[in-house]
Amino acid sequence: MTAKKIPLLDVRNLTVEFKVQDGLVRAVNGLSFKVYDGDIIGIVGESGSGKSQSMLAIMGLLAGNGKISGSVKFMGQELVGISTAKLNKIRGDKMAMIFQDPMTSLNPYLKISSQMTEVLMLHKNMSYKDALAESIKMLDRVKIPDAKNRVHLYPHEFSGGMRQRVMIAMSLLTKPKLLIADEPTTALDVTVQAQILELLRDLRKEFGMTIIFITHDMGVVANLCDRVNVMYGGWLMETAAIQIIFKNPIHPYTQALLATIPSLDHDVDKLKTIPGEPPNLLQLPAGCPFQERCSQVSAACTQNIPLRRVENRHVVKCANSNGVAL
Amino acid sequence: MLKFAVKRILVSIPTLLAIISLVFFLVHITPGNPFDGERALSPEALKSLMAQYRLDLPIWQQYLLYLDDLIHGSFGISMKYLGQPINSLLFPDNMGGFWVTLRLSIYTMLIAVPFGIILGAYAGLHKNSWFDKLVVSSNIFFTAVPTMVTGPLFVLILAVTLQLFPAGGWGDGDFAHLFLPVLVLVLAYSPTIAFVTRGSIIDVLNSNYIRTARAKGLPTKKILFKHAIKPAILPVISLLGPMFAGILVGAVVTEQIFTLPGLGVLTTNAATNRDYNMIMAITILGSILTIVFNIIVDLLYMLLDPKIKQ
Amino acid sequence: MFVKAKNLNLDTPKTKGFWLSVFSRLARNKLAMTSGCIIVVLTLLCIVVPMFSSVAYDKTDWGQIMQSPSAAHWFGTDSLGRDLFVRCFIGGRITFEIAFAAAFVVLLVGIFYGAIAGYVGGKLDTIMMRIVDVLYGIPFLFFCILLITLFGNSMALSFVAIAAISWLDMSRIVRGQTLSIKHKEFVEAAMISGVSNFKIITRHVIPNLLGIVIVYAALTVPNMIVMSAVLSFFGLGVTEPMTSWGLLISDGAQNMQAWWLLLSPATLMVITLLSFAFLANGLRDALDPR
Repeated sequence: MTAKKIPLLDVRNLTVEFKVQDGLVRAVNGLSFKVYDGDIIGIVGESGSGKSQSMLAIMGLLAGNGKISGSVKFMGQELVGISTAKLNKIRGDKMAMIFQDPMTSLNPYLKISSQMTEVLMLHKNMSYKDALAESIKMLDRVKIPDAKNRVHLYPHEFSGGMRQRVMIAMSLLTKPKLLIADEPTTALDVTVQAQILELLRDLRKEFGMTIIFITHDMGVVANLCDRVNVMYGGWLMETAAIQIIFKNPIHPYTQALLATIPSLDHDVDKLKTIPGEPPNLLQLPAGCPFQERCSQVSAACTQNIPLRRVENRHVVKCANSNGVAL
Repeated sequence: MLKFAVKRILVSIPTLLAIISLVFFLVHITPGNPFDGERALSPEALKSLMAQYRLDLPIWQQYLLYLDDLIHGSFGISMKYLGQPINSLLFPDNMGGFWVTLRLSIYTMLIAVPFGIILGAYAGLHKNSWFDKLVVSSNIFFTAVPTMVTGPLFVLILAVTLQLFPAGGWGDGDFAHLFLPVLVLVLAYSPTIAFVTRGSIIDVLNSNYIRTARAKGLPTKKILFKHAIKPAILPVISLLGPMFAGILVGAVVTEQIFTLPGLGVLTTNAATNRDYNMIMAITILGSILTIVFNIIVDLLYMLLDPKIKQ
Repeated sequence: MFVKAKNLNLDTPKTKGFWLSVFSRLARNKLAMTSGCIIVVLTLLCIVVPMFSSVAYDKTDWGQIMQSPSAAHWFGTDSLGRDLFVRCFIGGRITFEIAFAAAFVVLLVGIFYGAIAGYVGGKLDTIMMRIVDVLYGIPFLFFCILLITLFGNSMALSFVAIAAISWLDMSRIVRGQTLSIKHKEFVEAAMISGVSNFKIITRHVIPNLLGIVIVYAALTVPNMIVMSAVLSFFGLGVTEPMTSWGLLISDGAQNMQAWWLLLSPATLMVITLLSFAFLANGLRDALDPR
C-alpha cells in the first residue's frame, strides 16, 4: 500500500461570501481540491466564477466585507481563521502571489530595489546589501537587461512585459513552495504573453515551485499546466489532468468551454459561444449555477450535487455524471 | 528637476503681471477721481494733488511708473493719508497690519494641517466607526457654515458667556488674544483637510499595490508608513495650494469679527475712503501671496511624485 | 452601406429611463428630500412673512429697543426697536434674491464659457483657461471690495461682483466634463458620420452636462449666500434700512449681550446652508451611485 502523499495545499469546502448593500454574494461555494508538490494547476473560468476570489481568500487578501468558511491547509497548517501575524510569516515567504496588472500592482512611489529587498530583509533576515545583490541576481534571471542599474528605477520606467517579469522576480526571491499567479498575462500582448509563460516554465524547472495559474484562456492552460480546475459560478465543476480534460471532458460546461476554442485547422462560419449570461451571484439558483445555460439540464440539477470521482484524480460536480461520490 | 522649478516660477510671472495690469487698469479706467466729494478743493489744490499722484500723466506712463514702483518694492502712496507711503501702513513696525493677517494664516496652517491629517488618517483607517462618521459630518457642517457664523457664536459662548477669553482685540499678539481667532480658523479648514486625507487613505488602502504589499507578508505598520503614506498625502498637498487663498480671506473675515488690526481693517477703511492705491496694493499683495504659495505647493508635490520628478 | 446622418439615431446613454431612476434614487434619500423641503419652506416664508407682517421691517419703535423675544416680537427687537422676526425674513428674501440671481448668472456664464472652451479646444481653450487662471489668482474678497470701491456700494453691484468671481469654478468643471464627453466613442461616432456640431452639442454634450451642473448649482447657491454675507460683514453690498442675513449677523456680532440678535439670523442661515449641502450631496449620490 503506497503511503498517501500529504498535499501541499488542501482546500476543503471553501466558501467565500461578501455582504453588499443588496444582499449576500457567494463568490465561492464549497470549493474542494488538492494541490500536490510539483503540480502546475490551471484554474479556468469566466469572470465571476470565483477563481480569483478563492485564491485571494487563501492568501488573506479579501476585501473588508468578505467572509471565509471551510478549511484550507497549507503544508499541513490551517490558514482559515489564522492570525494576521502568523499569516504574514507564510505569505511572501513560502506562499507567493502575482497579479494581473503589474502597473497598478507595484507601488509607483517606491523604487524596485526597495520593493524587492524588503521581502528578503523581512523573511530571510538579510542585510540590505545582501538583499540587493540577491534581487539583482533574480532580475538577471528573469532577463531584465542591465539589472544592476535598473533595480534602482521606479515601476513606471519599465514596460508592461518587463514589469511583470519584475513581479515574478520579486515573488520568487524567497524561493516559495507555492506560487499563485492571478491572470499574469491577461493584460499583456500575445507575444509578451508567450515569453512570460516560457519564463515561468524555465523558472519552475530551476526552482521547482508548485504553480497555481488562474486564467480564462484555455489555450494558456494547455500550454503551461498539467492539471486543470474548471470553475463556474463559485463552484468547482471539474478537475483533471490536462490531457484527460481535452480528451474526455465530462462536465457540460467544460465541454462547452472547449467547443468555443477556435481551431487553426479548419474554417468555421460562426464562432461557437455558450448561450446565456454569467450568473448573478446575488441570486444564484438552488443547485448547479450552470443550469440555465446547460444543454443537459435535468431536475436533479436543482439539488445539492456532490463531487464525484470518475477516475484517478478526475473529479466532476455534475448531476449527470457517474462516479463515486467523495 | 531644478529646471522644472525654475520653469514653474517663470510661468507665474506673466500671470502675476496680468493680475497687476488688470487691477491697475480697472482702477484707472473708472471715471471719477479719488478726490471727488471729499471736501471742497480749490482748482489749484486739486491740480497739485493730481500731479502729486501722477494722475495728470497719460495712463501708460502711470502704468509703467507703477510697475517700476512695484519692482522696487513700493506700493505707492496712500490717497487717504496724504503723503504716507502705503508700505508703512501695510507693514508697520509694531507688527500690525499685514503681519497680523500673516501670523493668523500661518498659525492656522501650522495647526490645521497636521491636525486635519492625523484625524483624517485615523478616520480612514477606521472606516464607518463613530469617529469616522464624526469626521465626515463635521466636514459637511464646517464647510457649509462660514467663519462669520462660527466666529461670533464662539465669541458669544466662550468669551461673553463663559468669559474664558477676550472677545476681541489684539493685545500684544499674546496667546489669549490669538486663541479664539485661530480656533475659529482651524475649525473652518481642518475638516476639509481631514476629509480629503480620509478619502485618500481609503483609496490607497484599496489599491492593488497595497494588496501586493500584504501578499508579501509585510506587517501593517510597514505598509502604512512605507507604502501608503506618500500616495495618501499627495492629494492633500495639492489641496493646500488653493486653500491658502481661502485661509487668507478667512483670516481677514476673522479679523473683522475679533477687531484685529490686520489687513481686514485696512481694507474696509480703504474701501470707505476710496483709497485706490491701498485697495490696489492689498489686492496685489494677496495675489502675490496666493501665487507664491501655489508655487511652493506645486514644487513640494513635484518633489514627492516620482512620475513627475523626471 | 452608409445611412444618412440625420437618420441615425445615436441615443446617448442619458435616456428617459436614466432621469427617472435618478429621481427615484433622490426621492429615497430622506435627508436630501427633507433638506429640499426646508429650502422651499424657507423661501416661501421669506416671501410671505414680510408681505403679511403687521409690522414693517423698517419701522422703528424707540419704546421697544433691544427687547428679548416675547409674544409681541417673536425674535425680539434690535437697537432701533425694529421687529427682528420680520427683519430676518426680509433679510432672507434679499439674501435669496442675490444668491439665486448670482447663481443663475454664474451657471449661464460658467456653462457657456466652459463648454465652448472644452468643445472647441485648441488655442481658444488655452487662452480662455489662462484668463481663468489669472482671475483665480486674485483672492475673491479683495477683488469684490475693489469692484465695489470703484463702482460704488449697492446691492446690484455686490451681486455682480460675486458673480464675477464665482463663474470660474463652474467654467473649469464644465470644461473638464465637456472634454471627457467629447472623447467618448458615441460622440466621435457622431462627428465622423457628419452630424452637425450644433446637433452634437444639444443632443449629446448638454444632456451629459446636466448632471454635474445640477450638483454644482446646488453648491453654488450657498456659496453666493456666504459671499454676500461676508461682504455685508464688511459693510458692503446691502445697506440700511434694508437688511440681509449677513448684515443681521454682523449687527448681532457687535451687540453680543443681546444674544437673540445673533442667534436668529445665524440659525436661519446655518439651516439654509446645511440644507443645500445635504441636497447637493443627495443629488450627487442620485446621479452617480457607487
